[in-house]
Amino acid sequence: MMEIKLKPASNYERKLFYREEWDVKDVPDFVLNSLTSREFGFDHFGQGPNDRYKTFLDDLRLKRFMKAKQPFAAYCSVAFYDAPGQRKGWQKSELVFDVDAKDIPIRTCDCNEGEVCDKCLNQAKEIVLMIKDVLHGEMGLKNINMVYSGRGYHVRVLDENVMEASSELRGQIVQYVIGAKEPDLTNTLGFNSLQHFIIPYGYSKNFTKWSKYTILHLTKDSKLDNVNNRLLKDVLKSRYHLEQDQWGLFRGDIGPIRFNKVMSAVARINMNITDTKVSIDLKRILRLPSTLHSKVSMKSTLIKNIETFDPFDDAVPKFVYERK
Amino acid sequence: MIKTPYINPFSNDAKEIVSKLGQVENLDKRNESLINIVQHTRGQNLDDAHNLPETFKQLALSRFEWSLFRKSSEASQKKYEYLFNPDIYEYDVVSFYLLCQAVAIRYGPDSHETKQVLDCEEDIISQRLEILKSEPNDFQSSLLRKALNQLIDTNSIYWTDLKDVLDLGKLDINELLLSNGKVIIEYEDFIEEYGHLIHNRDPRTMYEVTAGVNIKSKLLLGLIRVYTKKYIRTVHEMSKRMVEPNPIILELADNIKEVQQKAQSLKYAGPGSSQYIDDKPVNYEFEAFPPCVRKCLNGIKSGGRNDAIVLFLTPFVSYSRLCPGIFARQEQNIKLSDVDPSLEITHNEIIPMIYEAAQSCSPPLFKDQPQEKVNINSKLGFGMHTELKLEHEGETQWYTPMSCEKIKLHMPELCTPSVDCKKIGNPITYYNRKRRLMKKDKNKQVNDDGN
Repeated sequence: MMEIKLKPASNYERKLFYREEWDVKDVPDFVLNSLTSREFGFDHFGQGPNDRYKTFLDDLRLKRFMKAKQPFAAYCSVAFYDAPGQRKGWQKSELVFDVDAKDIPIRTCDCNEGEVCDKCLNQAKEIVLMIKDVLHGEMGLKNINMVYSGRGYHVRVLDENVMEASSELRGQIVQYVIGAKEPDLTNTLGFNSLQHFIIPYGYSKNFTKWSKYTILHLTKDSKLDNVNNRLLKDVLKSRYHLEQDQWGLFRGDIGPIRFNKVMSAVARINMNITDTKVSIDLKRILRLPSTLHSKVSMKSTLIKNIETFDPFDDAVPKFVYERK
Repeated sequence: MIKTPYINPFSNDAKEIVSKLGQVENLDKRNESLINIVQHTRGQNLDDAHNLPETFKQLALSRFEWSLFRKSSEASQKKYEYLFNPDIYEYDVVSFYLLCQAVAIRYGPDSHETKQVLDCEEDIISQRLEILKSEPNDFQSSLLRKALNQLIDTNSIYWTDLKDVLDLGKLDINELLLSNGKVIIEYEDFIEEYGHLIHNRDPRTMYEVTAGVNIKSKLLLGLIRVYTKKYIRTVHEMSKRMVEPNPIILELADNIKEVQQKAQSLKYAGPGSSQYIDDKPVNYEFEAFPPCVRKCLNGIKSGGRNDAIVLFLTPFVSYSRLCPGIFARQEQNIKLSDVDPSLEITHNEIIPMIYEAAQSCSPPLFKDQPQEKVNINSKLGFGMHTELKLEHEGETQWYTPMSCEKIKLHMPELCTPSVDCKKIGNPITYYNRKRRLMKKDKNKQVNDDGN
C-alpha cells in the first residue's frame, strides 16, 4: 500500500472527479430504488449542506445535476417522504449508526483532534463489525448496508421491520447495540451479587463484550468520569485478565466498589462509540455513497465485503494517485 | 381458581363474558351476585356501605376512583379490596369496557381522561400481579403464560412485533432476551437457546433472574395498554357514526369528570403535598440544580455547545424559575406569558443566566454563532426573531425540559449522574425533589434547634 495523505481536494481535482470518475451507477441501489422519496442536500462551498430540499425524478437528473454542479459534498436523507421536497409526509427512515474515526473515544493512535489515520480507521471498522453482529445475530435484522463515509463508517439498515421505529425506540436500540447502559440486574429474588459478566446471553453479554473492548483500548491518557488516575492505572494493570474473560479476577483486583465506578464510566464511553444523535434523528441527511469527501479526498463507498475492505485501496479517487 | 380475564380483559373468555353480561339494560341495574362478591371479599371494609358498587356502572367508576385516590390516602385500599378479589372477574371485565367506551365517546383517544383510564387499568392489573407474587412461581408463570398467549405467541414472537410496547417506555429493549430477533420468553425456549452456555449455576434461577415472571408481567401490562389504546380509538371512530350514544355511558363520562375534579382538589388541598410542584414563578434555588445544569452553567468547553445551551439549558432555566411543576400539570402546552405576563423575570433573570452560560463556553457561543440568540428566543416560544417580544409569542413552542434519556443521547458529556439522579428521569424532577428535601432538612434543623 502506498502512503496516502488525507488532504483536501482542490477545486480542479473535484471537477476532474465528477467529470471523469463519478458514475451514477455507483450510487447504491438502496438509494436509487427510492430516489423519488428522498430529500437531497448539497454543500457547494464547503460551508455545510445549506442547499437542501432537493429532489430528483430519476437517475438521469441526479447524474446531470452532479456533473454540472460538482458539489463539495452531497447528502441524501435517511427518511422516505411523500413529499421529500418539503420534507413532509414522513413514511419511514433507515436505521443508522455513524462511526466517525475522529470521534472514537478510545482511539489508540497518535492522531491529533479532528485527524484520522489508518489505525483509527481500522478501529472504526472493528466497531462497525461488532455493531453489525448485534444487529444481525441478536436483533435478527436484514438488509444491513455498510458504507465507508470518508472519515469513518455508516451502518444503514433498510429492514422494513425497523424502518418505522420511532425516535424513542431508536434510542433504546442504539443503546442496546453499543452496550451504552449498565444492565439493570436488580431483582426481587434476592440475588444481590449478580454481575453482568456471569450472564452469558442477552443484553448483559453484549454489554460485557463492548466493555471488554473499551477497557482493552484504554490508554493512560483516557478520561473516565469519576475515575481518578490511580484507579485508571490499576485498571490498566489488571486488564490482562479480560483477555481471557476473567472478569471475576479483574473485579477482585480492583475491588467491588471501584469496579462499579469503572463500569459506570465504561458504559458512558460506550455511548460515544457511535454518534447517537444520528441514530435517533428521523430526518437526518447522510453523505451520498459514491460521492467525494472533499476535506480528505476520499470516496464515500458502499462496501461489498467488509472483511477485505481497505479504504486506502478501495475509496481513493484516481486524482490522488496523480498528485505529485 | 383465577381466571385469565382477571388479569387480561382482552382474553377470549373476556369477550364471551361481555356478550353474556354486558347488555345495555343490565349496566345500571342492581346486581345481587356482584353485591355478594363485594361483601364476601376478605379484608373488605363494609362500613361505608352506600359507597360499595351495586351495578356495573358503579363498579366502573369505583375502579377509576381507586386509581386516582390510591396515592392520596393509604387507608382507602381497604375500601376497594373487592377489586382484588379474583371472583369479581366477570363484573370487572364488563366495567372495564364500560369505562373505555365512556372516555372514548365523550373525551376521545388523545384526551387526559383516556390517559387516566389507561393508567387505571395498568395500576389495577399490576396490583393484582403484585398480590399474586405470594403464589408459587410455577403458578404465576403459567397463569401469565395463559394470559399472554391470548395476545401473542410466547414461543414465537419477534421484538419488532413489540414496537408499540417498547414505545411506551416502561419496558426497555435491553430487558428482552433476543436471539435472531426472537424474544425468549418461556423457560423451554430459554433452555434450548442458552442452556448449553450455563455452567455451575441453576438454569431455572438464571431464567427467573433475567426473564421469567418479571418480563412476562411487564409484557402483559404493556400489551394491555396498547390494546386498550387501540380499543378506545376504534370505539371513538365508531361513535362518530353513531346516532345516539347510550345515556348510561354518557352519565358515566360525567361521573368520571366529577371524580377527576375531586381528585384534583384533594391533591392540591392536601397539607403541603404539592408545595414543590408549583405552576407559578418561584425563586431559583441553585443548590438544588442537578449536576448537568451546573456543568452547563459553567460553560461547555468542548463540542455540543449549541445543543447544550439552546436545547437543554434554555428550557430548564425558564421552567425551573417560572413553572417547575410543568410535568405535574394536566395541560403542558402553556405559554411563557401565562406565568410571566410582563416578561420581567424572563428579561431580568432567565435570559441573563442563559447568556452568561453561553459566554462561558469556549469559544464563547455568541462570538462565532450570534444566530443562536434567535434560537433561544424560539425555544422560549417567541418565534425566530432577534428581539424577544410578546407579539411574537406562540409562533414557536415553549420547549419543555429535556429528559435524562434524551440528554444522554444528544450530549452524553453533560451527564455525570450523582446518587440523586438514580431516582429521576428529568432534571426538573431532580430540581423539585431536591428543593423539597432541602426544605425538609431545614425544617428539621429548626425543630431540632427549638428542642
